[in-house]
Amino acid sequence: MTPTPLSLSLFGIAVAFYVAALVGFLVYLPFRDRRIANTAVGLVALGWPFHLVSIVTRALEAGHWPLGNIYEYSTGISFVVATTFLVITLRAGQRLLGVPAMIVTIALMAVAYMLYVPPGDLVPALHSYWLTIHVTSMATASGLLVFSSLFAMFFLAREWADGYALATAGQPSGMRGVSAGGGGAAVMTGGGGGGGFMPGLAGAFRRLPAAATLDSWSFRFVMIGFPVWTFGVMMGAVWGEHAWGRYWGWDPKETFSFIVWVVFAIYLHARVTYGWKGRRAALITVIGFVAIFADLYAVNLWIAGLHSYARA
Amino acid sequence: MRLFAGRFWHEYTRMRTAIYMLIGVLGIVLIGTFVPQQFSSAQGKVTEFLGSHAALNDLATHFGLPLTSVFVSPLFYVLLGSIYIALLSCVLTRGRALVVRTVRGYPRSPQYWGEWGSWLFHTSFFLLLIAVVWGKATGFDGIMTITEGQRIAETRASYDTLQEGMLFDGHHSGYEVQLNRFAAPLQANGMPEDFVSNVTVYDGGRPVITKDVRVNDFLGYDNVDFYQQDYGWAPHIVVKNPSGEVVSDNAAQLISDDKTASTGVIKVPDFNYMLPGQSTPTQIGARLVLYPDAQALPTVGAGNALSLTYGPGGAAANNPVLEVQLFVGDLGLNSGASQDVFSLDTTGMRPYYQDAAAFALPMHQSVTLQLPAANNGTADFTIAFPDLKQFSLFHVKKDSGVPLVYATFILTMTGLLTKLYLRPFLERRRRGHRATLLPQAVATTEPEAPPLTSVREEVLTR
Ligand code: HEM
Repeated sequence: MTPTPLSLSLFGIAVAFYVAALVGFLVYLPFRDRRIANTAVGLVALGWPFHLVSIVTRALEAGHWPLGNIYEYSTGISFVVATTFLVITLRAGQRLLGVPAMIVTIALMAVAYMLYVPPGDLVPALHSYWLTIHVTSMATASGLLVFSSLFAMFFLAREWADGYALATAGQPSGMRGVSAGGGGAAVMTGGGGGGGFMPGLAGAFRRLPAAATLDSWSFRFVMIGFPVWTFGVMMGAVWGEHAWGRYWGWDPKETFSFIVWVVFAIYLHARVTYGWKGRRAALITVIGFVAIFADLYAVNLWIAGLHSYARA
Repeated sequence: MRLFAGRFWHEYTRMRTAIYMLIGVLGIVLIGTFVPQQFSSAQGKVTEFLGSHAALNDLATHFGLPLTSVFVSPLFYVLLGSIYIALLSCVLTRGRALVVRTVRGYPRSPQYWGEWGSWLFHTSFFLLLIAVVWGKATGFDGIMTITEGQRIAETRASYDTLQEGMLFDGHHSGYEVQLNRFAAPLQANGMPEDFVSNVTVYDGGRPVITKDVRVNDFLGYDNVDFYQQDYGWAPHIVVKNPSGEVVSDNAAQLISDDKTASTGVIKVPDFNYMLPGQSTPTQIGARLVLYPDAQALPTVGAGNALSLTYGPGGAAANNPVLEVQLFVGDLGLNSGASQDVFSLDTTGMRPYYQDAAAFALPMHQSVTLQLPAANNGTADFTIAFPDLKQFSLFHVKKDSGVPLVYATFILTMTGLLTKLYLRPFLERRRRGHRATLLPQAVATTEPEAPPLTSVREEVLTR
């Protein structure tokens, strides 16, 4: 039995804070007390330094840039997600985002823990500055693009709820009058009185920001994430040229990063194509979300390629 | 008819069509990630897939999409080609419009710069195409193995495999590369820590560079690049025939997956010994197994004789032992069939031992064996294993397109960043939100602040 490395203990503390924060965000949903949400945000902010120091100590323990295997990589992406969430919340107060953002963060850290590798040396192919730039960009871009999908999912939910409210507005139920755009308060009276799952869900989703706002947030994260992803893929090509003498080889990992890239390129085109905005664009980012995680895990664990040493 | 063609062209060059074509690319590429691919996956997996999905693959091949080589399939190329044609039309029309606007001195709006960015981004794909095709066509790509102490010229004949581009002029550089030493230091867990080939380049007979080539640190000289790809063991084997002549003195390159057990062959065509009653000299050959770190297992054989058999241990050369399965007869080298350096054709040969048994030959030792001689006598010959070398397997290539590929990357990023960031930045400046150090303006990483007005604008204008 080797003693638990400091990095892993800190990792555990960060996860504990994040789980507590998630519970807070979930409690906030029905009770809608600002103080609960603020406490939850505070818990994320408390866990964040542990997360950061865990990554730094891991780098010191292993003696290399801490993105050398799937444990480190998952931890890195979860850190980007947690950081981005904090920035959004502190700057723009998107508290409802806490639920999906913390679920993604905790899920990534859970996977990291399941695939834990003790700190150690890297295989020779991984000793490279180009690789460091490449994986750092890819992890950052993954974490950022996740938010475009989360906002897109919110957008889809809000759009559905708006449609639901419109459709039921004419009916003799407690939902009457909700479509007037007043937002949450009207729904609370309607949904609270009438009960039922669908009205309740629609009411909850109508507390999200307006659909157009969510759509623009989603777009904004593609705008930030897509160039970083593009840059990361290019740096991967430079690394491939340096290490193996080929900048592109349709290796499964490369192929999947290309897929993600094309998905978001399609998204950008869809946004400027008349009639593809909104729902279809949102669905594309959701596909992008699936593709990013397929790239990360499915390819590493089930499909072998030159990159598959990253499994260890 | 002209009307139809015009309509078709209009539809074809619409961005919606571009989206569908990109979705098509996605589909093909997805198949490529889940189906094992020739050249990038293990050959066994490819064969297995073809065995179990033969009908499906035949059907797909019929439509130009052989499933195990989708990245070089006709359908993929046709799709890429049509994307490029649509892209060309788009780039030409938009480029002309931009030039006209520039020449006529229209106002340089943020929109204008955004369009230049988009134009640059899309145009850079053509440069990429040129860089890739030109680099591959005028270059070559091959595999070369060099044993420690060996010096090999960069010429066509020195390659194990070589693919030359269509426009390659056929002139290899001809300089020589010598592998001085190879080392693969192991980590505590037995995994290699690094692969290091110390090589010297001789140009015109004079040493010009000495360098450690390792993964991530290649040797580039005269536009040809050597990349460390793999390595293997090369036992030095000396064979003396019954007259005492040295008839073979070579390091045999053995291949292996995990380096704890490697296999290969040795062929001695010029053994130069005439078996009694035969009219041509005999040849010998052997299949070899090398355990660099052999583990001895005592076994009790016939008549309670104790003997040692060997099995694999680690990957370091702690106790190298060769197992030799010897054959005598005709190596079949004159049959004209292509010769594989890693396999032995024994159709014209007899095993030296009746049951084709192998014998063990530890390093620094030699064995003396007998062959029939005239008058029912015997003649002794020896096989010695004086030392163990390593060889390095290099991926060698010439690709002059690489700098152009990198230049394309810079143009692509410039175009993309101009489109996505410069335009919103200029727009914001116009609206009077000057970039100051005030908190709400630190948002340079979050362009297009979310005020609802801009959102509505977007909804209305698109
Ligand atoms: C079939 C060929 C293509 C056509 C006809 C096409 C057309 C267009 C057009 C008309 C725009 C709007 C430009 C503007 O507003 O200034 C655009 C934007 C863009 N295209 Fe393409 N494109 C094609 C291929 C591609 C490809 C292969 C990619 C990369 C994967 C790509 C990536 C982009 C990006 C990132 C934008 C910026 C999106 C934006 O304006 O917000 N395009 N494209």
